[in-house]
Amino acid sequence: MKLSMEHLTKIEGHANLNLEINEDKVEKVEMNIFESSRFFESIVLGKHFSRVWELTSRICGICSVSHCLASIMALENGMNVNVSDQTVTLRKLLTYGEFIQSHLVHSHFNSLPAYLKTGGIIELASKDKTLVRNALKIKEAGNEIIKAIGGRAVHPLACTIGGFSKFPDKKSIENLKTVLKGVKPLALESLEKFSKLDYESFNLDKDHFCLVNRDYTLLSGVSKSLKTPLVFGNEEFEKVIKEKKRSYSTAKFAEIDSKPFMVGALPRVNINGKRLSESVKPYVFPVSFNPFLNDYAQVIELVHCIDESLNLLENLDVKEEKVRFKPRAGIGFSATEAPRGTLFHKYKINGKGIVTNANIITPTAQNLPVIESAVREYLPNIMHLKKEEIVKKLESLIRAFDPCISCSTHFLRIKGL
Amino acid sequence: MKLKAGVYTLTSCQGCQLNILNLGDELLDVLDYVSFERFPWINEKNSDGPFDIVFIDGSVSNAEEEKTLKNARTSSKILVALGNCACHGGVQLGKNFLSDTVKVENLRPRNVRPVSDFVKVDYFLYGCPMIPAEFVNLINCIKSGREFRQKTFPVCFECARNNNDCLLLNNEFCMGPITRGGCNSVCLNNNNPCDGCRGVFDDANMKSFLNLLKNKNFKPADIQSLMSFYGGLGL
Repeated sequence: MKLSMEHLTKIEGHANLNLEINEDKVEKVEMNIFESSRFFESIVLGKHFSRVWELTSRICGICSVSHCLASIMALENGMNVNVSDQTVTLRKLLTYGEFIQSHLVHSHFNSLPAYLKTGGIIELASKDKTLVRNALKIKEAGNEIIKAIGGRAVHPLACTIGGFSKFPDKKSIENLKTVLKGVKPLALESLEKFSKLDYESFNLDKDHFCLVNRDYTLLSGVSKSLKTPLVFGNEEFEKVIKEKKRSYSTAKFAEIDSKPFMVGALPRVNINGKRLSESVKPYVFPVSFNPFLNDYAQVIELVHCIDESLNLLENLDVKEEKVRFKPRAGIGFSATEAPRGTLFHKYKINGKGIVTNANIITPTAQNLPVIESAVREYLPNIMHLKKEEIVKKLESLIRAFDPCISCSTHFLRIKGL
Repeated sequence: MKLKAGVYTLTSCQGCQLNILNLGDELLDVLDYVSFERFPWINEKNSDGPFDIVFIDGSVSNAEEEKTLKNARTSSKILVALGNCACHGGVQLGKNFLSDTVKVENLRPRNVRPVSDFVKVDYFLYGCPMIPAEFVNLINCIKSGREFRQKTFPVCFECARNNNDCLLLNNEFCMGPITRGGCNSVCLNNNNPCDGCRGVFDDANMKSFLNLLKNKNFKPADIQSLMSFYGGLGL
C-alpha cells in the first residue's frame, strides 16, 4: 500500500507524509516538507549585527520572540555584553507571554477539536462559544505581555543588545497583573479538561533533550539528555547536533549520535518537572515517552507560565536602563527554549560589526527525524484500521509534536563563504 | 449570507495569519460574518472554492506557489494580499540578491516575488505583520458596502502626533517620510527607526528623501541595504 497524506492540516505550514507499506511491513516513511527555503542564514550575511534580530524574528511569526531573543543573546555572547537582572526578568516575561499564546493556539486550536470530535476551532465556536471565548482570552493574556514589554504581539520591537529600547510603565505592569489573574482560573479549567482527555497510549523509545537551569528554564541554560548523562553547552551545539539534508525535504533533519531525539514541552516536563509551579504540580505525570502527551504538557506549561509571570511581576519595579556596550569581533552562541523545543543560534561578527557566518537550528529540524520514527513505530498498532482512520490517527500523532514548518525551512547550508 | 473565505499560505512566517487569530473577541464577531471554508492551519476540512474572498499570506517563491495563487484567484471574487510578503515580497526578497555572491548546495535560490506580479489584487493590507485593525476594517467595509481606503499620509504624520523625537533630525536613518502611515508609528514609539515595511505611500517625494539622506552623508551602499530590508521600495 502506498499512502500519501497531502497538506497535513492544523499544523503550522505545509507538509506531506508519504508512506510505503508492503505486506504489513513499513518500507518508507518520509516527512515531505515542500515549503520554499527562505535562506535566512545567508540573507543575514553582510548585514550589520544591529539588523539581525529584526530579520530572524521573521523566520516564524508564532515564535518571533524566541528567534529575536536567541539572536540577541548569541550576539551578546559573541561581543561579551553583560545584561542586568531586570533585562533577564523582562526577557523571561516575554518568553512566558510567547509560550502562553503559542501553546494556547496549538493545544486548543490545533489539537483539542479532534478530541472533541469537531473539525476545527471555528466549528467548535458554533457549538461551544464560551470555550472558544475563554481560549481567546487566555491567548490575549499572552499577547498582552508581549505587547507591554516587546511593543507589539507579533515581531517584538523593544528588544535590543544589552537590554531594551523601551520600558513598560507602571500602569501597563499593573494591567498585566490584572489580566493574568483574570485568566488563571480559565487556564486551570483548561488544564483540568486536558488532564481528562483520552490520549492514545504509545511508547516511543527515543531520547528527550531540553535546557536545564536553576529554575524551570525557558530563556537559557545548558542542554541535557533524559536517558543518558550527556550535557552540552551552547557553544558545542554544532558539534553535538548533526543536521542532514534529505532529498525529499526543504527542511533539514537533525540527529545526535546518529539517532533521532525529541524536543518540546514533553521533554521539558519530563526533565524539569520538579521545577514547575505549585498549582500545576498535581498534574505533572511520571516520566513518559508518549508523544501524544505533548499537548497535555503544553497546557501544564501554559499555566506554569501564567504563575511565573505573576510571580515576576509582583516584585517588578521597572527602571529605565541605558544600553552601553562596545561592538567587537567574535563568535557567539545561544540556546533558548521556544514553545516547540530548543532553538540554537550562532553568529560570527567581524571588527566592523558585520555578520560573516550564521547557523540556526530550529526545534522542528530536531523533531522531524523523531516524527518519522514515531510514524514508523506507531503504524503497526493501527494497520488493521480503515484507511481514513489510519490517516486521522497519523495526523494527530504528527500534530502532537507541534511541528512548525516555517521555522524548519529557514535554512540552507551555504558553501563558499 | 456569510462571506465564504479562504486563507492561502505561500512563503511567509504565518505572522499575519496569527494576527487574524490575535483578534480576540473580535474574531468571534468576524466569524459571525465570515465563514472560513479554507484555513488549513486551524481547519480539518479545507475547500478549494468557490470563495467570495481569499486572503493570501506570503510571497511567491516557486512554481507550485504560483499555481496555487492563480487557482486561488480564479476561485474567488475578491483577493486580498496580507502583509509585506504578499504585498511586496517580504524580507526573504533578500535571497534574490544571493545567487551572484554565494554558491548554494544543489539548489539555486529562486526569485521571490509579490502576489501582484502574478494576479490582480483587490486589496492590500500592508505591514510586517499586517495590522489586525486594518483587517477588521476591510471586513467591515465589504460587509457594509463602504469603500476601503488606504492611508494617504506618511508614518511621520503619526510619529509627530505621538511626540517622538525625529531620528532624521538627529542624523539617524529612518524611512518615516516616505512610508505609508496607519501603523501608529509603532516602531518609532519603541525607539526603532521606520524600515518601510508598509511600502511607499502614494504622494511620497522619493527624490527629496534621497537628497536628504545624501546631504546627511549616508553612503549609497548603506542606503541601498537599509532601504531593501523589506520589499516595496522599488530598489
